[in-house]
Amino acid sequence: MGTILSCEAVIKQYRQYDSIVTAVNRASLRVEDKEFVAIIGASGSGKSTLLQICAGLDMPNSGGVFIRGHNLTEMPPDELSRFRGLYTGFIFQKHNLIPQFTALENILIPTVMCNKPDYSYEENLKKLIDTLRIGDRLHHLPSELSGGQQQRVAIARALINRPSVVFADEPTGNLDRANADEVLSLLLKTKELLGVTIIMVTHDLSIASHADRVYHMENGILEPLVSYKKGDPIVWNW
Amino acid sequence: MSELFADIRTNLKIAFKSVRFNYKQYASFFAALFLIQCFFGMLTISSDMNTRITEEIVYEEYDYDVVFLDLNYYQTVFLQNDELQVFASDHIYDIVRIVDRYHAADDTTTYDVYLDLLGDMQLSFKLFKNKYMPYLQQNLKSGQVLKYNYSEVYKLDSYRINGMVSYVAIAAVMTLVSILLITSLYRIRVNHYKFTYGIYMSFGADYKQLCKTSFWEMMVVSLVTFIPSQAFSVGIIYLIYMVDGFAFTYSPLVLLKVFIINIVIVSVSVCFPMWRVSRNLVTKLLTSEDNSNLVSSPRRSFNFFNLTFPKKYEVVSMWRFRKYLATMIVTAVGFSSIFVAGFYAADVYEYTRSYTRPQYTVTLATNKIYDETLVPDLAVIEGIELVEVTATGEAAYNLSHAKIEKGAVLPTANLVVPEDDDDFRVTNEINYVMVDNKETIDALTSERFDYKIKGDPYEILTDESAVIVSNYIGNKKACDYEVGDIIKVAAFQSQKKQLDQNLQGKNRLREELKFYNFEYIELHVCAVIDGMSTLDGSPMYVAKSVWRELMRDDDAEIDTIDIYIAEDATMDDAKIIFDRIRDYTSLYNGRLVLTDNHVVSQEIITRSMKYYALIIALSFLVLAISPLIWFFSQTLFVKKREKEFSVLLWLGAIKTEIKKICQENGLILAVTATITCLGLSWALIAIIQWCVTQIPPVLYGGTESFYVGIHIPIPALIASVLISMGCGYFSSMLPLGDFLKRFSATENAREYTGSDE
Repeated sequence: MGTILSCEAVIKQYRQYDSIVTAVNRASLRVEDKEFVAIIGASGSGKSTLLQICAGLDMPNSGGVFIRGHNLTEMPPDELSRFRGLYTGFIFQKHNLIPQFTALENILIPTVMCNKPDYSYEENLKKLIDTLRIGDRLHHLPSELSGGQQQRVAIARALINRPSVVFADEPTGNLDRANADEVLSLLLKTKELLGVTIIMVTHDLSIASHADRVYHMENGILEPLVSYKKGDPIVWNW
Repeated sequence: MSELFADIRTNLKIAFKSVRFNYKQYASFFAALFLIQCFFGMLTISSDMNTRITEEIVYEEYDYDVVFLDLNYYQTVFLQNDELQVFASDHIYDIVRIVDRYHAADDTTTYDVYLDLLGDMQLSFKLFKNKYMPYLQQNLKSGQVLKYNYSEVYKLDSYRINGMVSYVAIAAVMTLVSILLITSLYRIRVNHYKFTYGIYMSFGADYKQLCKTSFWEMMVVSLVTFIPSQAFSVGIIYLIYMVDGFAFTYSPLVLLKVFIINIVIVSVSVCFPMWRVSRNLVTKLLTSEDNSNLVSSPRRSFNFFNLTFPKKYEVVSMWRFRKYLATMIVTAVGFSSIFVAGFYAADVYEYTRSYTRPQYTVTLATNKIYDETLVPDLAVIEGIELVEVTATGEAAYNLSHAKIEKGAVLPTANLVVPEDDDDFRVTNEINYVMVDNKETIDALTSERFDYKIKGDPYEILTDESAVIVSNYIGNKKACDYEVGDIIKVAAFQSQKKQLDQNLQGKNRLREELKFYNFEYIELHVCAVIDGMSTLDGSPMYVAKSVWRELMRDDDAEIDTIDIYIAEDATMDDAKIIFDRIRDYTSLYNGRLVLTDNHVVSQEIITRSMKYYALIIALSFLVLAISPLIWFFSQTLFVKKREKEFSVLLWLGAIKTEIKKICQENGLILAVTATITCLGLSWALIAIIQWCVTQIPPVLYGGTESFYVGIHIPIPALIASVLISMGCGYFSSMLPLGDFLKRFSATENAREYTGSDE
């Protein structure tokens, strides 16, 4: 195990009319390989913005983001895109499946764009299908799947390339309780199976309580939840 | 009433706010309604102009309704004194003038009496025929015929009615096309904003409410475009008619007519899309923010392991969107194909309008008048270009038929196969035409008619067993004759059995073959002439002796002679030639009836109506609709795909690959649009050709049928194909270019992750 991701003193600000909004205020984060880290916080705390910066979907105003030693903030756009495709996976709150492709095709899209040589996608695909229990819905369009099934397909898509890090932004936010628990359990199972690192943003404390480590974010300031122990319920006043 | 106006005002105010706030959304509707209003403005103004121009020309050229020719003194005095009038209300005509004509041949003077019929012309002439004609005919010598000609003034009402019928027919067709256009645009709009409509419906909006809102929004758009469109219409029509120096007139009723048609189009166009929306489940509308409702559900997934990105990726995508793409392409390209068909229709109109027609017709009172010098003598009169003798007889009517060698008959011809002779095919859809003079062959082979000729038609004048035929029956190609082919024509002799009079067509012919006795006359084809109408039967030109046998009348003779003058003859030329012909026909002591068909004045009138230019101008308006649909539809469609492109960029695609997706999309659309344009244009032209050649003219108030071939207006086709190709390609690329300029992973991440951070 080593450090798979680190971000140092990241600042992200936006101009909103005449004022400056600081969404992320000198956030620093270090994530070890195969860890599950959760970032909790209330709406508007800046946690999703931080996650997007860590995933290379957004650029900070200052600070650095490193994945496997590569500095994302200094990469040109095309190189950054390819890097994302090869080494990261992203699970959105809204699944963002492509509507004209079946579940199977959606899962395989990352393999089409960023082909990893010497890598058996078929084997990985089979594992994901079995673990996520989507075998009977593979040839259906996203519009023909339930919310939980769509999210499972999105998880499979995020993991098909066996990324180094998976970023999950409120992956259960659009689901009901039963589906949310099931999706989380499957995600964790897949994590163990494939040995990926997960960084998840959530405001659901029961989900965050499954993480190895928890950070909390408030008004753009990121702090580790030092009192947290894995498995213990998290008590937090928003 | 005041409540109604208040209601209208309120609805317009609300709709105006909505349209003004979202004017970009309605841009395509502004363009579409502008085009539609221009169309109807131009059509209505030109219809009024044509009516007025017709009246102007006719009243300028003719000052009488009917002229009685070559009356004797007593007949003339009878009319002058109006000896039958008792009461003032019996006065049904005025004499415009009387022109006397001295005939040196028999030292007599006759009189042409020009009448102006009072009141309703048709009614007055009917009364005249009933009351005055018997007296006039009493004064005729034996064998003489009372001769009279109508002027074009007499036919003015029929010109007006024809004009109105044409206007209504074209307006009806274009109303349907306009409804199709607005409905298509509305469907595209509804698909893009279905989430918004879902919100409306979740708050209680029903079909009636949705329709009402849409109707008033479209009315606001119509009101904004109305005056500019009418001004544009006036400008175009002015330019079209100004060329010939006609004074431009404009009736305010045009505005009312166009406005009413506009209301009809808008009302009907919003009904169907709103009905479809209102049938949807609200949840379906609220959850479908992407293009998922446009996707054709597959049975299997494609093998993505071998997929190349972005080329085959986009091919798969487009295949899945095939229903949407097919509908969009057919709709958009349909309008550009109508543009091509419009040019063809204009050519067909011009051909039928300027078709060579006889200026005069000489009718023989009895066939005993005919002598062999009649036709040659007429042909040499100065000013006469062609003389054509028409003595015809229908095969079916005369219990005759023709047996044609099987090898000359096309398999698609569907002619009757005789039970006892498989080497021939039989038809009675034939008109036998008698030929016994060179002048008729000269007319047939003249450049004026421009028929396609194979062989030597003059052979028929020296060989009685020769026949001139056409390959077409009922305006469809049925045969492929070669010179020398044998045809046996049947002359009825006797019957073995009485046939059921209710039997018609081919069934009748089969029974005749079984139960009638015929004598067959063997003829050989000396020439094949194609290009004339064969809707009422295929012509077979035969020698006089053969014709008499087929008509079963040894004395059958020519009864009608058509006379053609130069194409560029003026009205004055026509009058002079008319007098020359009359001088000659007067030698026959009134037993020849000379009819003026007024072809020259009709040519002047129809040429002034500018229908050709109008059809071309309207075709260009229709063409403008095509890019409208392309870009409106594709802009919204690509916009809905922005999320997909963003996801691809997040998953590792680079911008040039996204650009290649749209290039691929654009190229496929361009190729598909080109093929569709070629196919649809040809299909529409074939439909027009079928209508012109197959629909009997009596069904639409016409008097003659034509044969027109299919030809593709190449410049129009090239323009249409280029526009379809260009729109197909750029309608994908331009919206994408805009997206890529706006795209940063950051912007789109915020928009599409669903988080509100």
